[in-house]
Amino acid sequence: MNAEPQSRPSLTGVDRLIHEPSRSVILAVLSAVKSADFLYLQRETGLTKGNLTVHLSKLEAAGFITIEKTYRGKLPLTLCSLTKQGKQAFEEYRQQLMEFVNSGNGNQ
Amino acid sequence: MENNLKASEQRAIQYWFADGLVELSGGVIGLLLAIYFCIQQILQASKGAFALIFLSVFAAAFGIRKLMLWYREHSTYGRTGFVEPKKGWEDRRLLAAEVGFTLLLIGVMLYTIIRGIQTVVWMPAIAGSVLAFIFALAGYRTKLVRIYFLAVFCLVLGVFLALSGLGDLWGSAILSLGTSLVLFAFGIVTRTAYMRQTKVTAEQPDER
Repeated sequence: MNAEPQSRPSLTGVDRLIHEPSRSVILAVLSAVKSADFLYLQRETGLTKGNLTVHLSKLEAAGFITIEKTYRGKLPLTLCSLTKQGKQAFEEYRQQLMEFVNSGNGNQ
Repeated sequence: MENNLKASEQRAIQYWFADGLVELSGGVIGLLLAIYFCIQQILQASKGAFALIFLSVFAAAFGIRKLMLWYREHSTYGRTGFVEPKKGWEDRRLLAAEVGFTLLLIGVMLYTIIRGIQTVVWMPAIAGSVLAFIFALAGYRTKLVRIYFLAVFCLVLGVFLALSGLGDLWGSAILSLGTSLVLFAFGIVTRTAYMRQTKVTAEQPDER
């Protein structure tokens, strides 16, 4: 007699916008600091300028990050920071990821 | 993937210490403090003069920090980018630790005043504990082993100097000098590695 299969966490419900390696790294960095600039994010993700710009624009359009053009001394900076909405969405995503990994699905 | 995210977070938190400039400027401030304590011990000047010298050291420390930030703008941000760290008080556990330690320190000082206990000889140990606490907090945030090492070093050296009977001023001078030397050593090693591993790649203004 087969037991009723338990409902196991899956990754189908995760936010697809965040569940992309480069974008999740961007959000991880921004969740750990107050703000980070374009160059730092580029080095951290290993993306080209064009690709990083596309990812940042998507995150900005979703309301997850804010992008501000500024100067520090004479140095032009493109500063990115996480919004409250972005923080909440990323925390939920991390939670879902952890549940998925802890359920053993991550080893399959 | 979770590990990658954690590693990215940790690197961002550690970024403030990545170029070695914090250690180097801390080393200079420690050296200034050592000189201040030596002057105080050797000249046996009046309290007013001490206050003036101390204010000068404080102003110099502030200036060194400004200089470090200016230099960082020119050398670090163009190489590896800019990261603004979160303030210490944004982490509730760190804030609780800071408040707790400050209250403990005030409590100990009040207790010694009320009981008439001579605390001057313990000055190096107290100063070492304060430095150890500051470095331990920084170590907790950054998870950098060298910062934890500094915390242990300051605590052990401070207690050793207090027990050695050198006196408060010589003790504090040696503590400041010892700490600054370790900071210089860490700063030079970190800076050398940073400069070797990075090159200037200034951000173009038209990337968006």
